[in-house]
Amino acid sequence: MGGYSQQYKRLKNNIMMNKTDNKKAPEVIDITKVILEFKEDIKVKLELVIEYENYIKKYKKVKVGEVRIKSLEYQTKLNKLKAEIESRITYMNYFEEHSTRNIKDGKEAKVVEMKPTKKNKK
Amino acid sequence: MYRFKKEITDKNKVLLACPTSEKKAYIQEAWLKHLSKLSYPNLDILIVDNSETIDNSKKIESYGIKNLKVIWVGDKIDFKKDSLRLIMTRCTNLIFKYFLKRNYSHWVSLESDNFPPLNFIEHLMAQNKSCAGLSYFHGGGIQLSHTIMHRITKTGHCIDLKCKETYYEVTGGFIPVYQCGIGCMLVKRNVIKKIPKLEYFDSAVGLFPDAFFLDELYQKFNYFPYIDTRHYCIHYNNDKIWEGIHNSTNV
Repeated sequence: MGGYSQQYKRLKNNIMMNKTDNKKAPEVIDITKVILEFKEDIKVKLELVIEYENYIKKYKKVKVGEVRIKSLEYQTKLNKLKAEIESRITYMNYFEEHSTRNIKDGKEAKVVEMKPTKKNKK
Repeated sequence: MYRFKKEITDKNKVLLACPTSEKKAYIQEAWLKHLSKLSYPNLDILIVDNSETIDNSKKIESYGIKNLKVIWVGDKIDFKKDSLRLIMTRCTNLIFKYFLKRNYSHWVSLESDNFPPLNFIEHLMAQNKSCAGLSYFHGGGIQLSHTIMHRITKTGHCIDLKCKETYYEVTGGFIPVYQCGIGCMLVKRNVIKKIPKLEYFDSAVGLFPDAFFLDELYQKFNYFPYIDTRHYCIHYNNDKIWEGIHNSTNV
């Protein structure tokens, strides 16, 4: 159990730095915030994807040495990045954007169709 | 502003099901009212009540929560002989049976003292994982924050404690873990189909069905459930009863 107690001590120390005592659970997850963060994240990741792809393409013919090792490292990172981008896009596809103009007290207001007035009819 | 697509909720009928008993009476009413406010529209709730008498089931029904069903199993339990862990495992198996007989697409496992954010089902479903959950606190609502985990036994049923132990904190990301508890987890139907029954085994540490389920997942399919540690639930398990049944100190 030696390993366990060491991990426990480490955990305990970490917890002490990240105390969230008396913190109330959030009522809802802010999906808009999550999606905006994902969009930003995708932007950054896409830039990296282009950088890695260019490097791999440039040194495609080099089969030995440090350049080759770096190319392989980039390829691994590239696969991971692409998977992460895909999972974020999947997440966003479950939601749709909607206007907040018709929202009153957190509920979507019914759209009232305009009926022509007597004046307009004429 | 974003909202969950209606065509997805129409397609995916979710069963929120968990065992409970009169031991959770101190938080029961608040918890059920919280459930009634969950935002996912295509949702059924199943409570498997393992209280000694039927009174608690009647009380749960009296709250009039929409789409809620209670099954009382107290008459099938030998309270002198059966351990709480065995009872919980049987209740979970009953939930699996109920789930598979009907056309549910997902099972939400939620502990009956765990308060998740109201739109957690939508959030977890959008992650599109076979098993995805939120973190919750082991020590109860007002204690130190760290997500629940189970110690792993060396009985042969589980993996060696030293090599697979997983600790993590609420400030992490969306991460795969070995043992984390299923107190707030969304599970796809295909998983329940492949694990239709949990085998109970007695261990020195005393494992709950959470551990049996997650271990099956790993042993059979080499799969780790994902936990979104960016969001969390409050776990109101900090009364004396919990300490009594767990029989070990909270980490």
